[in-house]
Amino acid sequence: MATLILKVTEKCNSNCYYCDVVRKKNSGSSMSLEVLEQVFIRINEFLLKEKEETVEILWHGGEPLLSGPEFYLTALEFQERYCNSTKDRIRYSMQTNLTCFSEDFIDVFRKLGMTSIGTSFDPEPNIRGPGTPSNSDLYNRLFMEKLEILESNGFGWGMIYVVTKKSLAHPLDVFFFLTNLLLTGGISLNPVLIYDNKRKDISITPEEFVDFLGAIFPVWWEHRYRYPDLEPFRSLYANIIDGNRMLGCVDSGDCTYHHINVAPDGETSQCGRSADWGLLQYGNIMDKSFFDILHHKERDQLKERVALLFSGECNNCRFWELCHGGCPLDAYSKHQSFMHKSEWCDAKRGFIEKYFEPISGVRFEPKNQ
Amino acid sequence: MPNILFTQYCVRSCPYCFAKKHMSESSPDDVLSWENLIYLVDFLQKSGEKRFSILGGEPTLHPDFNNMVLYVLERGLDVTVFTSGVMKEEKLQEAVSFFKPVPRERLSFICNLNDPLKTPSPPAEIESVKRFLRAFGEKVVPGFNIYRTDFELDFIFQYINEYGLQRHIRLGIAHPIPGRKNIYIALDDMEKVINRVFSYISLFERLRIKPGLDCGFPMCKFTDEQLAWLYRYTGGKNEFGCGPVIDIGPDMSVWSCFPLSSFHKKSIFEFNSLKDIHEYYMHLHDSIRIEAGGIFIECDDCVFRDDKNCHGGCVAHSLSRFQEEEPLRLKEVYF
Amino acid sequence: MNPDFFVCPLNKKLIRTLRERSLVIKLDKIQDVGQAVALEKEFDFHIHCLQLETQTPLASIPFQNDWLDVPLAVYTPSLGNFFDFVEKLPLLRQINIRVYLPTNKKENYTNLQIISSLGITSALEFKKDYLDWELMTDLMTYALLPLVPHAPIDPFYYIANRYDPHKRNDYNSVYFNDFRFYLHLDHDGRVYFSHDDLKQGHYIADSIEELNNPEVEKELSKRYFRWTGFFLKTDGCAYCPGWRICLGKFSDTVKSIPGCSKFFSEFMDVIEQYKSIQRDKKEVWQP
Repeated sequence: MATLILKVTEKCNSNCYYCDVVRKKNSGSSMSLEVLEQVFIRINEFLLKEKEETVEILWHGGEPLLSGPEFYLTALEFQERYCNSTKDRIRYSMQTNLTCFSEDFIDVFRKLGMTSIGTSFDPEPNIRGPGTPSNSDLYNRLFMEKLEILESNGFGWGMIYVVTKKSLAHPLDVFFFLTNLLLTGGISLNPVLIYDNKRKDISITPEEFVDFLGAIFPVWWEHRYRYPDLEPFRSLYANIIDGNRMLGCVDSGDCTYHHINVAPDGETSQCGRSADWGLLQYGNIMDKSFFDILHHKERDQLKERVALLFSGECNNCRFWELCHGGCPLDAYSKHQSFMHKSEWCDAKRGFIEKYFEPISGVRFEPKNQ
Repeated sequence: MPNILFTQYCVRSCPYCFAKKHMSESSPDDVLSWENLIYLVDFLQKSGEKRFSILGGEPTLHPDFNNMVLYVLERGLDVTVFTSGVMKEEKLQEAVSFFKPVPRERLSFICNLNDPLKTPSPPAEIESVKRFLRAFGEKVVPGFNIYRTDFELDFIFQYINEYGLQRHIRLGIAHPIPGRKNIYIALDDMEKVINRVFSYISLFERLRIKPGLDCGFPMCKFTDEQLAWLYRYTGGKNEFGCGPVIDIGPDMSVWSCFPLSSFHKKSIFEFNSLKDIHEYYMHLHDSIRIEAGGIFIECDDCVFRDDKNCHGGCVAHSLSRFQEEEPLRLKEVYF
Repeated sequence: MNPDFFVCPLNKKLIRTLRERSLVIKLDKIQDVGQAVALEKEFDFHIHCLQLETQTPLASIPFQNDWLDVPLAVYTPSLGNFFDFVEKLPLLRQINIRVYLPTNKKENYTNLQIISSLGITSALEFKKDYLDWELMTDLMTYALLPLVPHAPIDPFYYIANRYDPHKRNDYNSVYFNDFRFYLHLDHDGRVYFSHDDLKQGHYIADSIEELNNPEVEKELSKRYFRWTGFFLKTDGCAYCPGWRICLGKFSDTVKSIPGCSKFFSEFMDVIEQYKSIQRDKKEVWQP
């Protein structure tokens, strides 16, 4: 499956404290209809060539809803026009702050086959919201209003929760708050990633993230049938207890030839962060096919990285199969090179050894030693 | 059939009372609550019991006695109440209105009667007992506890006739309470007591009243003639047993029987069923019997004990003896 | 909007307008039961239930033999004289009745166990002037994990049998107060979402004919999503482990009578235990 992250705009109506996109210099560009059209031409070209492949499009930003329902209606038209024979191999999802959602999006999203939305929320004041400091009161009110529209129209939703320094004081409060929202999709607890010194007041260390998860895990474990869809617990359970390998892009070591990030101007790169940092750039869709982009030589270093780590820094690591050295961008942020493991690997190992294994009573045994 | 204590206090001070030790260690305010009553009825029903036996102290002193008995009956259990028969007139009248229509198979009273001459009571108490007997006559089985060798049973025969009580006398024998000095029948006096019971044979026959033996009578102290009479007259319904009765206190504590009320006392919540409780205390009884087969040395080799026709008298005798010796026996037999 | 049931007073003029509807008729006198039953025949509506609110103890209520087919929800302050209650038991066991006893009398927590153990369906009526969470926990455990079967005690039984851990579980239907199914009418036919709204005069429509107005639909949606208000606060019910059953019903007593969080949290644990017992029960294959 090829994952296409479409940054339809870098504009956002919020100013979340930990967001890098709104803090980029010269941010604020939006995808033109010409680029959007080319996206669908390229998709069809790719799917006709790769008969077994599917494409998952993740509408992203900035705030993707700022492009308005007409943008997505046009996308639908383009799909109909260019992908008539391949559209059943196209899937859509979206990551939005939901505050711009309205009834006007319902119909077009349904036609695109979207029945749920990914979003994000934080009950902590002044973390998410417009203005400086972030006006979380306004943001939260809007969020709930739009949630009403979403749910009353039968849409589901999942959530990313970004763990910041402010979360560390009351992990169980966070846990119960998020799970009490009773969203239909999953909740993912992700550590905040801060790359500048100005916002170090909310950054957390891998050890702090481990203990945050560790404070929640015993409660989740005891009632895991009540709170099934909480990451990273659910996938660790699947991997360690059930023995099913269920890994996200960060841990799979396999994002090399499957991910494309498309910026508003059509420039492609590995993912959102690589685009922001000017790394792993593969050319523009206006003059390159998706096949060529997915097989760009620049990607080879990511494959080499996996082999290098396996025999080097990650040699004999019991958790290699669950981690594969983590995200190369995380490694780059610390070492200025992809060829190292991510510092968040220690978080994963730390959590499994300190909490998951003792509490579950199950020791992870790798399948391939 | 376990006994449920409704109260832990009494209005009488019978010299032989084997609940004395237990009551002295309990608070008079400690009466069975409704929540515990409901739990106990559930527990017994789950355990397959059909009868609910009520004890005390004096159970009728419980402020909700009448309502609680009514409740148990309504739950489908049959009820037996061990009582002195001493009841306030107002409460008795209420009890009569509640229970008069209940068939005696469903509700019976075992009324422990004291000899007015040998164990005198205040006149008001005697009057109260007579009122009770008059009110519930046919539902009452008279009981008598033998604590002295010169006891008389004549007054009971008279009560049976006068008040229409059930034609049956439940004879108990006072046993020692380990760890406490109380009045009881010494081992040497067992035969005397038994002979005295049988001195009433002609009255039993003439008035067609049957004697019933409570636990702890040793079979070896009965002559063959006496045993034959008992068998023929009561249809073999008498046993020479001693085993866990299971008493349950208002605070939900459980113990084997009153003389052993301090012996390995537990909480009912530690058990899943009556069977579990019985097995627990039976195991303790067996441990005592390993140390001492019965109340007499001869019990160790007794064929009737081996066949379980007799259980070797009351274990309280053996336990009392163990308290006075060096502690060299199985640890379970000590308090 | 077309609710399943309307809760209305015993008002002939009003009821005449409610043909073919299912009604919960509120009575304040037991003697009115007969009148309500007669009206059903006259005006072709269906009695879903008769809701009797009385100050007479249960044991003193003169139940009649010809009420056997009438569903009765009886709100009474206490059990009353036990002997009189037992005398009534044979009839009570035949009547389709649920007895509601209030939380503001300590003995009622036990009385509900007594009633239930004697085969009568009962329910706790929450009165916020007195709530004993410890006694309520004992009652809830008795209701769902008894040693031997007994009649249901609501709302515990209601919730346990409909519990979905991934949804908000509302037990307001036990009290005819769930706006998704029950709407309340006053004597003039004005429509309210709940009993409390009726007491406060906050109606949503002048008559049931106006229920399909877009304004009413909007109000309905607002009411449906009222729970989001808890998630706009930085503390309180949104952070409670027991939220998905309580849904903030005790937010106004959480400080004055603490214990609700512990109670509802334990309640969920007991429900899950109850469910696992139900799952383990074998079904006979036999038709």
